[in-house]
Amino acid sequence: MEVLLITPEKCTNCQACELACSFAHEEEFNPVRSRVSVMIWDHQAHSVPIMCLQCEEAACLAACPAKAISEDPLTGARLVNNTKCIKCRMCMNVCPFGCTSYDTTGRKIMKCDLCDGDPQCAKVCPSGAITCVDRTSVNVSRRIQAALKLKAIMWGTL
Amino acid sequence: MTFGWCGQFLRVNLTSGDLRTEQLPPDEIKDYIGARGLATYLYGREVPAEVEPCSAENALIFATSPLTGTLLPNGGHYSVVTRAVPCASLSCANLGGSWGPQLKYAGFDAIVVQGKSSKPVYLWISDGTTELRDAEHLWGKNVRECNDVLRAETDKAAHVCCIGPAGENRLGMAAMVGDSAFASGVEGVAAVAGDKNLKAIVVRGTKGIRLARAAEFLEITQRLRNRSAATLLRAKGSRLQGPVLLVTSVAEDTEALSGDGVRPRNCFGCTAAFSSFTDELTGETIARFRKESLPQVNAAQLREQSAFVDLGLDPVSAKVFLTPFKHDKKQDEVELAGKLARGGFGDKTEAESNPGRVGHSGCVVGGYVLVPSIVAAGPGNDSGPDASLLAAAESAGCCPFAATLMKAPEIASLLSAATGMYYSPEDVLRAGRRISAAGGK
Repeated sequence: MEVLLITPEKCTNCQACELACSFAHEEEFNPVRSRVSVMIWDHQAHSVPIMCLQCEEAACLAACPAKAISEDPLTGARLVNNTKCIKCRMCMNVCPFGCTSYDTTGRKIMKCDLCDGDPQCAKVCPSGAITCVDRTSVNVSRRIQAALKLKAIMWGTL
Repeated sequence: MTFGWCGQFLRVNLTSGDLRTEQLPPDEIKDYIGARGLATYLYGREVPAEVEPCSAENALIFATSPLTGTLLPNGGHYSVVTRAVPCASLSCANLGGSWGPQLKYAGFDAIVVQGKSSKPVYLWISDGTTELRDAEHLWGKNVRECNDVLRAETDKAAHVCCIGPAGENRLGMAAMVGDSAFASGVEGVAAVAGDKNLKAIVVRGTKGIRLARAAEFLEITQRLRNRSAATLLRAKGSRLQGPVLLVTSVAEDTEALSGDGVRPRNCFGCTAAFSSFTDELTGETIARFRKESLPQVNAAQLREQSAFVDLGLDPVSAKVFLTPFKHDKKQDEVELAGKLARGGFGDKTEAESNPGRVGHSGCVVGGYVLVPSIVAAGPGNDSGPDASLLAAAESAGCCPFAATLMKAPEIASLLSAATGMYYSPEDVLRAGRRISAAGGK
């Protein structure tokens, strides 16, 4: 099972992820209809891609009165069943990351579904700011970086 | 329903304040591809020959391509065409950033600006609603401040293409600046905007772009994406002073620029963002896309470049102009640039007497690229990019610096898949030849 890992310092704000996402789900290039959004701070030249993190204890899933949100046993994604959904937008109100949104064009809730296990955003990201990694090896590279620093302190070499 | 294209453009008459949306049938403009080609076509159609640059009859044309705002790698570009030099070929500026894609999301392929306003104005476009607004309070303001004020007045998520004090004073080396960071200072295009009293165009769009054959299009773009990550680029021409990074903007906060690891900010769709050039012992300059490590940037150099762009100046030609005035080495170049932008060097800097820099593709993406020409490294690539192929790639909305990664058959199949009209590689090359012959460089 794989998860999406965000490395903000690598993001170049090219917005390819937004286009790939809106195209995969809505068949059009439109950042407004993307499940991932790149938050940009112009003056500091900082940008961070942000999308649903598929919480283990998902607030959206717990709050949904229509029981329209469920876990995909294969990918681990929290999926919205649009037939069951009553568009009350309770999931939007409770999501601590603001990553469920309402699509005014298609009149439905938009939320990352991990593209059935093949996330398109990670596929097009040129710099490795969004990567799709196995759950068991999440953050291994960060652990290695931290370990290297410790190693340098201990033995003076990187 | 049109694919790739929006199918309409906005006609702005600054003399009367009249704004009109007009149809732009895709089959009529097929032969001109888009962006630079489309703008050149519209200019020829709308403006009589031999018109004076600083007259109401002259038009300023902003045009996008059917691929602008799609997943095309390095493909968020748009062109601005006008006649800025009397009795010469047309001037064409090429810009990156998010402004072009945003214009298409708002539902327009191009903007044709005609006439001359009696007072400073800016144009506000939001999803098909258009409005000319007073810009008296913006006149004289630097680019970044102008961006902040305009976003506060319109929409936080809006994108701004504007001129700085240099453009207002009709300097030949003035630059159009998109998104406060992406400047293009070729041949006085910004001076014509200043002459028309047009300070800025602000856009915000929420519509989408649909394509005719999506799966085919995505497959080609993914192939190009992988190739751009794998290709080594080589800089031709003058040797470099230390490593150069292909970035488009950096943090404005000067404190953040000290020390190591300056954060780059890049164009919409850029895949070359983390490329950096190093001058190797062989004399060849190789660029490598560095996915894993962020290359370092010369902070002082970038800070200086940002200051030039903020004044609405093309850093390259402005620096050449200022060289004889720099008697003292310690004299602050940025201070001199400020004087230059505000008209302190008099008439000889005006567009008509100083045509500005005419260089490779006429584009300064953010102003930080100091190499005159970039080609893919390897045997058989000794000459620079072919002018007609470059014109075709630029017309397809591709960044001129990365255009070398695409060949005519790929441009043709991308255009065919996007628009649903058939383009052969010969069509693309023929269009490229016609566009480069029409001038703009």
